[in-house]
Amino acid sequence: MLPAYGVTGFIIIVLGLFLQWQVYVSRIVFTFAASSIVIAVWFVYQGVVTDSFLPIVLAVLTAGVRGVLIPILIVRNLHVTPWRARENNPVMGTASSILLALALVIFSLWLFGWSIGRYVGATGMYAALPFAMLFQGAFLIISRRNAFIQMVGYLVIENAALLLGAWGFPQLPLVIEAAVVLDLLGIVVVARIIMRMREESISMDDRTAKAASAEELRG
Amino acid sequence: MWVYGLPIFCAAAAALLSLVPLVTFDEFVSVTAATVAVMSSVLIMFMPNVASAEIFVDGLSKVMLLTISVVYLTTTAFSITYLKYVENPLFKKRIYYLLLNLFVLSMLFSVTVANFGLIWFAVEATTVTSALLVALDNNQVAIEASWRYVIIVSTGLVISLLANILLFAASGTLNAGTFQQVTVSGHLAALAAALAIVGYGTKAGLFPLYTWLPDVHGTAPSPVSALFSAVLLPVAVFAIVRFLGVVSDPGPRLLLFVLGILTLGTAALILTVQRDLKRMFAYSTIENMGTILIGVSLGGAGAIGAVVLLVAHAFAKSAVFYLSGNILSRYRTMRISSLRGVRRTMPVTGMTLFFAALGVTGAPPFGAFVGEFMILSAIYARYGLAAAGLVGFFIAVSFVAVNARVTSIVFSPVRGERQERGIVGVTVPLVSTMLSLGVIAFVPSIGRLVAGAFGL
Repeated sequence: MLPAYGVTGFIIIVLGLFLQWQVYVSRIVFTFAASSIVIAVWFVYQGVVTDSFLPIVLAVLTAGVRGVLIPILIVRNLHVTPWRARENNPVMGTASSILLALALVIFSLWLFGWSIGRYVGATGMYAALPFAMLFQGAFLIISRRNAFIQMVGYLVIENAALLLGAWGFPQLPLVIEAAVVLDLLGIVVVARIIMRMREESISMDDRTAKAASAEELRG
Repeated sequence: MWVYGLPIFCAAAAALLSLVPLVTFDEFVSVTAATVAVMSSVLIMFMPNVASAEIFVDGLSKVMLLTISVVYLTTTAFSITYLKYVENPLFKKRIYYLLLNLFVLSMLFSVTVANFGLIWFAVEATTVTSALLVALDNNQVAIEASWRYVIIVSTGLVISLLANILLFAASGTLNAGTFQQVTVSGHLAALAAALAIVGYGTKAGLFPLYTWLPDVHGTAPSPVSALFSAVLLPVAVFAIVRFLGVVSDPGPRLLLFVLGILTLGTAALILTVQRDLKRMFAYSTIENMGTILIGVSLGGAGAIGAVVLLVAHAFAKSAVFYLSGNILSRYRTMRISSLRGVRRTMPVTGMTLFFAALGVTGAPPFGAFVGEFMILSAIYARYGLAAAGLVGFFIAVSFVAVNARVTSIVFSPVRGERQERGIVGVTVPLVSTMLSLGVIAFVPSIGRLVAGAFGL
């Protein structure tokens, strides 16, 4: 099962890096959805290998809520706030974002080995993959100003925690995992309402200017 | 067994019934549910501790249940009068009560449930249920504060989720009852406790993760600020206490002690330059949380002092936020330099604010004084005079900073017509202030109740 987990973790990190150089919110959301589906596939595999029903339930929850429902909620919000469809003013440029994200992957792998790694044994080193993903999510939050992208950053961190818990400790009660998924849905719904209110509190002139600027950069 | 779940049931029932579209029905059911929650919490105080697969109620849970229930009651009662002064609310009154009851429900759940994972779920649920309450005033500042609150606290709480996963890895269980017989040792368990301190510390206002807190307290409606300051932050402290209780390694306690001092020191220094009344009380909350976490890190008498301070602070701080709401409705500003002669214009509000501020900052004979004294004694016994002196200095700076400003607001001369708030608006904060004073009579009882939670 470990090699399959390693492949899953590798794909997740690559998708995490892909997030860092995207500027269109919809692409970032779809990338997040793809990584959630990859995690769900891992759960199905885990359920089949261990002949257990619970990982399958978790796979359905993960694919349904993280892979479909949450992305739909965010993308639907984009239709009413088109000036938020693109990150026009990131904290740092695309090139430096990619370089820093790569450096963060290396740093997080080293940090895991230095801190937790020496207490969990050789097989435990696989847990370094979700650990690296956690840093990618945090970096997405601090490197962007767009509220939707910050939200996706938080969701990536949540996905990292889910992957870590599900791999390292499959006996972790399903009720906890299910509670995490439900909590996440609650956070996204509330965040969506607040984002909508933020948009409504921006003046009409400001909206028009932002929409024009986004249109100019589209391509 | 069902009695232990009664406060939770009350809040859940009130949340649902608040949706009935009858005038003032939402207020009636909320106050009634809160009253029954207080009565059942008092009853639970005299019942035996319980540790099952679902519920874990020890002395500390009982103290938390009662504190949350009392602040729940005063907040629902004060909201009746406060909401009349909100000019452009974000949602209808019954939605406000629905969210308020759900918010309290998640806090009551977190101090009663046996599973560490579900404690995390409940603490995270407090974010979901309270985020919209922060933005009730429906202006850009409040909405921005609400967004910052959601994104910072949720991200911080993921760290405490990792703490739960590591605790499970180290012990094979997340049931609090199991940890009564055994504590967990080893690096993984210590790392889990350290992550719990950082994660839940985000919600408790711990240095350097407190940045969301002054914004939220400064912009949220006064009853919501009262709930945040009085009971939400202590619920996060409660989760930290639970984690420390199961880990035998001394490292996390030392980390908490250092972070507690940094929190206290930072808040005390920032308090000296505050110009907004509610933000000042927000930093005062951070200062108190720092002191409480120092007490928790010390264990023994220091931890009991922390619980005494937590309870006394809850009542006094809810009072000052209610009173801030009264002042805001009259003066339409929270800028300290614009608030003058409150004793003349609002005599009961002014004098209650003066005494409540003394209660918040630990003046004798308020309960907070006893709590801070016990914590300082414990620091002196463990780390000597220099450490106790440093903490005492920061507490003194906070005391002077808060009370100097409150005194200038209350006693400065001014000409203006008298415009005191109605009976509910002045009685609720007065009762809360008196409760903070009354805590001193219950210090031995609190000590007996919570001793088990701190391994005494």
